Amino acid sequence: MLNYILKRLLTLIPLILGISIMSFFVIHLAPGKPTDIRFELNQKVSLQTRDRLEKLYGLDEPIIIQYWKWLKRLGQFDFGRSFIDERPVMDKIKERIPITLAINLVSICLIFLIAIPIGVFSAVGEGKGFDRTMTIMVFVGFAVPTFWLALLLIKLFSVDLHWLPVSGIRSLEFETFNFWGKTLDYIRHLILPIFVSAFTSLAGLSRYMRTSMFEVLHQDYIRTAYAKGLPKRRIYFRHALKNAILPVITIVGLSIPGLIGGSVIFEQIFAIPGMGKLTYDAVMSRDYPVIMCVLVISAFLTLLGNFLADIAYCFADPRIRYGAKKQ
Amino acid sequence: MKKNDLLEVKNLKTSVFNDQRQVCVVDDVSFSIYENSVLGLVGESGCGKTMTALSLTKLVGSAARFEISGAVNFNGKDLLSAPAKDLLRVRGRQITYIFQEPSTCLNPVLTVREQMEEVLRLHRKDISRSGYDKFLVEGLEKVGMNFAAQKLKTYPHQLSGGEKQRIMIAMATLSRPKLLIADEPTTALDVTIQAQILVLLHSLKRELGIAMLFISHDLDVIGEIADYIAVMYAGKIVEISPAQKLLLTPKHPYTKGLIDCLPQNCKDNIRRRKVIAGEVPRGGIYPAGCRFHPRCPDCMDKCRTRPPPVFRSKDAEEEVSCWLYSN
Repeated sequence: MLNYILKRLLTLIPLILGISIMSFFVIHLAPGKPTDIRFELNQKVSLQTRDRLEKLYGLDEPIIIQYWKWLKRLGQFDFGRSFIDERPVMDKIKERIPITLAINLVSICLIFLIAIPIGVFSAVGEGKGFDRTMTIMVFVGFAVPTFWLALLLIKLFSVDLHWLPVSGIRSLEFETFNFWGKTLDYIRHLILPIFVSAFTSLAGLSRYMRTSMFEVLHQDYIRTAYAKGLPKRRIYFRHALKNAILPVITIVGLSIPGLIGGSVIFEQIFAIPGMGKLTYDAVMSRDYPVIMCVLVISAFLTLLGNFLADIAYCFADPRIRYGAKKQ
Repeated sequence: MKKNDLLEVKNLKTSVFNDQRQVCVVDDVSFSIYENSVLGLVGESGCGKTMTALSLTKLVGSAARFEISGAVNFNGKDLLSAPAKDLLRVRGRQITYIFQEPSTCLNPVLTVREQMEEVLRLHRKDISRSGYDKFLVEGLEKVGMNFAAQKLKTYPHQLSGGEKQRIMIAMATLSRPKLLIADEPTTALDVTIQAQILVLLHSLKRELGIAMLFISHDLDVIGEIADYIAVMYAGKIVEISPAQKLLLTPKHPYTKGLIDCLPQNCKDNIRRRKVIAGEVPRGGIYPAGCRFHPRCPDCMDKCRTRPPPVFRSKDAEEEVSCWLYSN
């Protein structure tokens, strides 16, 4: 088992390198340069100044050399400084991560806590009232675009009803609140973003869970369980769910990068200063160091998520556990 | 000579709903199983053998929407009209099942012990929890399992097909049932294991006095274990007789055909086996009159239009539905 884990970890290194090469080249080859934003519309800046700045950032060198230098710095966990405000990239990311992490952690927990029971009960009562209602809800959830739903909710709860704030993550008078007031303020600001980010994924996962459970319920070993005279509850939750939940582990693994990545769309709409917004702004201004850092982090988390899902699978499914031992 | 009925099936009719269409898979089937005797049920694939077996304790439902009518009298009670709670007390306790494919009939994520213990907890309140281990090991040894104590800790995928079927049999006998329904228990196993399992089932009948409904498409296998044989064709039973009589002097043309197809009866030319021409009617679309008439070598005019009633021999031991025996 330990051998297997080590082997898997080692294969991550070339993968990360490959991903970084691809993304580095693609980003640098994309039209537009970081310097354009500052100089394009400014007639006073001479060509010489522009060349000087490019030289300062090292943009005049061949792209391979640029990559090599970037890689060397990466080896020392130095992601460089942002082209836009000269601050270390790591600092910029550190201040954005908590809010994104908080929103996504809560919404992912909500998604799993709600979607799994919905899927299970839909599959169990296939074609009955609950299943039909949920099917309709799920397809609505699938079809509704995030930004549209977000705007409608803001209109209803914030603009018309004045129950919730329109955007941002804290009120203007935030500093005057005591601890509980501050907490409440955060919660009031985050209700809509969390709901919006959960709602659409909820649809997918509950559908997935339904299919998985449905398939398991038609297996021969479920018939055996019925033949033993077991009560339905025990068949559903012990015999069926334990099998049906296995594929969902993969999805948990895949959702790990999303924890940090954040969503460009709803962070933009709710004006949440999270990772999604940082990434979006960095891409728009061709802020290479920030883009590369975000890409490397998400690539790493994606691979890590897959890796963790595989390990978790080993523990959940005896067939894989013993297969891995033999190798 | 009147034997003690353990289970009496009267006019059993099972329909399954398939894409809004009602398909009658078991049509007006009646038979009895006597105490401590084995009834063999034989017929081609898709003729309704398995559905008959599942219908007896309303086990069809785990796979499809269905409708069962008729009566199944067991110990003086009609199982079909009994409330679900009473049925659960019979199914798995007094009537147990063994299925065709042992590798898919055991739950892959539960250990052998977990799956066997369930039966004890549900049906053997007379055994204390501390006695489970000893009892389970004994149960496994009784079905000829080697290293029984170790096998309890394994998962199904670590066992061979024969071992899995032994576990199914052990599980089906833990509750001291009166009737064991074995649905093609040897079909998925190779020949040597097949013989061992047959011997095992035989000894269960002798030593524990368990009656059996033994389903197979293989007349040879049935002949080895059954006291009575019922031949099923297209959802109906066409002939029931004591095993020896049926094998030596078959009455129904279909039974004759089946016996002629046995390899030992084609000695004159081994390369050219006999077959019954034509195909089993599928999808619940049956020919008018006698359902076997399109394939019958002795087909008469009335066979095409009028379904044959059941004709009994004088001692009421043999029953056949064929116009040839209308005197």
